[in-house]
Amino acid sequence: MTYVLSELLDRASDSESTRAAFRCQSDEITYQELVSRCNQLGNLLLEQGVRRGDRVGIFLPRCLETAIAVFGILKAGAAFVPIDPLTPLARLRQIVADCDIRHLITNRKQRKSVERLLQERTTLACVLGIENIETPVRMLSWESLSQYAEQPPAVQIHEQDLAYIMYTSGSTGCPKGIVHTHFSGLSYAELSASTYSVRPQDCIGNHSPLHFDMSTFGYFTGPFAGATTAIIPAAYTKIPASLSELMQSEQMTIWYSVPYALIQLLLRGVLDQRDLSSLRWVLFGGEPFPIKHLRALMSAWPQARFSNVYGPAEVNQCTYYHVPSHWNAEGSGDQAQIPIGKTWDRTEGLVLADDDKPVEVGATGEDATGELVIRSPTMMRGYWARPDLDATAFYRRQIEDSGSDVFYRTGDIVRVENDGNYTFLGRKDRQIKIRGYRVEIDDIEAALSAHPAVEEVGAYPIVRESVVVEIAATLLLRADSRATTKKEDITAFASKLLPVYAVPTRISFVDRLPRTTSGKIDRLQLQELAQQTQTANISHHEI
Amino acid sequence: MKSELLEFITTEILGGQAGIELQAEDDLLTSEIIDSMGVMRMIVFIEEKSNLKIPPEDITLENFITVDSICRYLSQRDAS
Repeated sequence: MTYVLSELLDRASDSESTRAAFRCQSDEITYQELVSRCNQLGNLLLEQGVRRGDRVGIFLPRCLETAIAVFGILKAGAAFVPIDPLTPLARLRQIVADCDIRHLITNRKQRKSVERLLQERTTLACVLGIENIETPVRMLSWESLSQYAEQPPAVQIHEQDLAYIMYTSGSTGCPKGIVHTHFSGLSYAELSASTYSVRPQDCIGNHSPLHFDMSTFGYFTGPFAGATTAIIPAAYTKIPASLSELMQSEQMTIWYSVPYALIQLLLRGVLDQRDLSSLRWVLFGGEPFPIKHLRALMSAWPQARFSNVYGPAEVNQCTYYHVPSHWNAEGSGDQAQIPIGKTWDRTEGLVLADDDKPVEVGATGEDATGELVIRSPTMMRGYWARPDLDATAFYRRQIEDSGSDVFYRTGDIVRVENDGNYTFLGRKDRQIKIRGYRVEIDDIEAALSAHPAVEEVGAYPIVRESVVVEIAATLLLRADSRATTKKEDITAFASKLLPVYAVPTRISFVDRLPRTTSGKIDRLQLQELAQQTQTANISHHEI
Repeated sequence: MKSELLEFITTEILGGQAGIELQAEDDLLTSEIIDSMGVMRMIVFIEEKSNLKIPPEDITLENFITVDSICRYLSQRDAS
């Protein structure tokens, strides 16, 4: 049995010693080399005072060193904390202070940010990866690793020990740390490897940066299976035609990303000029995938299977829906939604109605709708040092005379369909009421994105004194339709698909949609922008 | 085109962020100066300025990694 995440490497190093564990463009590292490097890093960290349960920051761009950092930290018995290499200084400080990071692993590309970080006093005692910064903090180079023993560090850790903390932006603007253990990380690796039958021969396209939870597939599931994970360098994520070329030359077999990256590949990746017949699985998640784009991609890659992956970072993944190939055919309309499917193995899902009681088995429609809560071995331990969040994050089902089962509240509204699949209807907090009608923002987006001229869309409420007064949508049109598409066309189209109260009354076209660091459309920013404009207009009129 | 492009990236895409002085040989894509949306905006700008249509297969790392490489690409297009 494997109990801690770093054992994945030791195991793969026995069976797949000469296979590339990670690749990043022309750089690659075999399992055997990776284990040696991680042992060395583990020994270095121990010498620098790292102890079991300590939090060690990883502040790296997409590169091979991320893999050494992840497993080297785990080898030392510590937990890794991935930090967005582009994060603003204030947020970087918040994270370092929040979980008391004393050791930080980085490289020379991050020099400017690290210099600014060290200008003020922090909890940091040691930085690996940069030298020659004037600071009392100990600075070590990556090269110094070679002086350390390649034998595994002697540390005692167990499966319930802290393994990593993922920070997400809390709604109040204060980042919150999602705490995962070796057990939850390993459970995810095992379940995902079996769901997608990942094999040593696979090459996994890891599109997500390390600080985004979707990267656990590349970093954990890949080593679990002894497969190769291709870390996509940042430049490729911006140039779809080069990205598709990389996918082809790497012979990628499994792809996992947000729908946005796949839409870019579809529209600008010159897929007709590429041979991507090696792809056998295309996994996507993080936000809904507009069905017309998914259909087009399924036609472009007919040999691949497509899987809609669902799960908040707090539970890694928990449901999946393997899109049947007939979705490719005409029939169900473009505004149809891809279900998020059923819970995977060893996982229980419940749907809670407004009164917090599970909906009845066999209920349909509105009676089968509510918040999805999940009980799974892949679930986080809780939030880092936030008992206030822990107090509301979980749902407890009483077991007579013996405590309770603990479920994570996803905050997502789903409906249980007749075939048992869940359909995602929206965030609990994205469900709005306008003039008394309950409206799912995601329904509106699905309807608008079905219009042939629409490339992408963000819909959001306009709120005035806590009351939703209007529904607005910001659209990015396809380049070839920009000149010919009018706002009235969009409204007329939406009116055919949506109840009258849900049709956006304010439509705007933009050249680009704002995005969060994880690549999702930043709807909050759209809303804020629109509300500012509205306030400006109002004050103008009132004067 | 070179100076116009540098000016466009500095003011429109970087929003005149303090401390960034962009050079024509600077790596635009690896160094995170520009995101994927920025690339699209830059292409729209180049197409308008140069009166050329840039096909998707030409939007590659090789052609777009620096302002210099973009200018090289455009002069090749002009020549052909």
